[in-house]
Amino acid sequence: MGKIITVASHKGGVGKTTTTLNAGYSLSRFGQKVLIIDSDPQGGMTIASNLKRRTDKGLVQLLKNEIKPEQAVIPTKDKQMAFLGSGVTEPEDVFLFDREARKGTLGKLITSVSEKFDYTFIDAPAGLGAIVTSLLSVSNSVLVPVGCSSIAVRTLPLFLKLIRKIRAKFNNNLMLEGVLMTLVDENSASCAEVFDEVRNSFPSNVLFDSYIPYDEAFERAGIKSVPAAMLKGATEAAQAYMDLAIELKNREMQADRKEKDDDEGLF
Amino acid sequence: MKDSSEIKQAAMLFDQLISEAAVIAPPSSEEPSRRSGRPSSTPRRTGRPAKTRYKKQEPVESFDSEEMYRGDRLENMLFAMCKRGDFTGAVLVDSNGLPLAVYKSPIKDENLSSAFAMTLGDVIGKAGRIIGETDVDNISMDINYTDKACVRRFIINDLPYFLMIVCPQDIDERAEVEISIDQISSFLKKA
Repeated sequence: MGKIITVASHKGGVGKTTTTLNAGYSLSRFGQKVLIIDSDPQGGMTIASNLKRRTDKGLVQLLKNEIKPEQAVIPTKDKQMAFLGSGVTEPEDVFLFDREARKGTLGKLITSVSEKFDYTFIDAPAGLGAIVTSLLSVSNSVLVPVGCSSIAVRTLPLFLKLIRKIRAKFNNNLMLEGVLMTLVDENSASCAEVFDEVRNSFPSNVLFDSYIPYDEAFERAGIKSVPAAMLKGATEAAQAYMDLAIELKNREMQADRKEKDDDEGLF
Repeated sequence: MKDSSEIKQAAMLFDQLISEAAVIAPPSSEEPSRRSGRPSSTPRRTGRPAKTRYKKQEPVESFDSEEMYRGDRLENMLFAMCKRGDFTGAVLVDSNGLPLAVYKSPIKDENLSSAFAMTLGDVIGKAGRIIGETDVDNISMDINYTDKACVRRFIINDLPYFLMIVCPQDIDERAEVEISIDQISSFLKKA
């Protein structure tokens, strides 16, 4: 079974959907099979990926047992990625989401659809509610995007407490993949101050070396409903997520390397 | 921002998660876990210069440590490439035939590994000239019933470098090798 990474944060508007889509896309360029799940009832990922044009079926219909997974998990043209939308079309679907999350059905469903993929990236809703708790309870790790602003950084403690509680009560295998600084405006003095403070205060291994710049190319990519790497003239934005994907793999391999040590030659 | 209680609390919670081994990246033993000793610097992306108006950090490493660092970085790149591409080993050789980085050397002696890569690398040049093709840069050789050795020649500052990988015969290694050569070239150009 592959790895389930939930992209989550307490604060909204920090780039969770953008990170899920672009990090997933970058990893798929390395030949990994990647599934992207939109578990946010707002359906941001479903819109950002243009999935809505292919199907309006998703998690909601699967939770209601109305369809089979293969009807909702839609592969991309190159088959390296697949998307599973939220399937929220009516206001009451949002309540169903929450209810099924509390019952644990949402978590079980996600575990079963993830089985055929190397990586499953889940776009979680903002906040600390039942859906996020349920997702983290079945995830291998959590990636936390933090916008380069004082408010975003200051919401971290509550989210970290939730991670610790989930580890203690529901999922002691849950790991912190890392904290990713997003919306970094290289020309803003206040952003530089926040960034410095974060780098100086937090342990170096929790913070990704890569960061995501504030770049209007992401907005343009959003309008076209594609990852930044598929947009012409968005090299910087795409490179930022390629750097992140490489770093994700390197971190994972370092962790593997600690367990296995191969000093011998091949022959 | 400074002395914010939330930041202190977050830092404490991170420490607790690290102590519970709940963080993917292990803490580095080579550098302090906190970056407080650093001069104030602007955000910088890994491996590329910041386009910034803030003061840049001066290099503080000695020549020796810089060299160590370069070797480690290259070795990490080979390691990452091998894991991503399911390769069994890799050697990076410079124009003088010296190994710049080795990951799981195909032959126990690293110098012999480099010589093997250079030999195949020379064949690329000679064979290319014979058939009148100047853009020949790859050679692949089955080294036993299951594995092959592939050498890719690439040029940096008019000097040839050779990347040799060993992988199972049924793998198409080219895309992964090209991505890694981009990474290695940009690093070597800066180094």
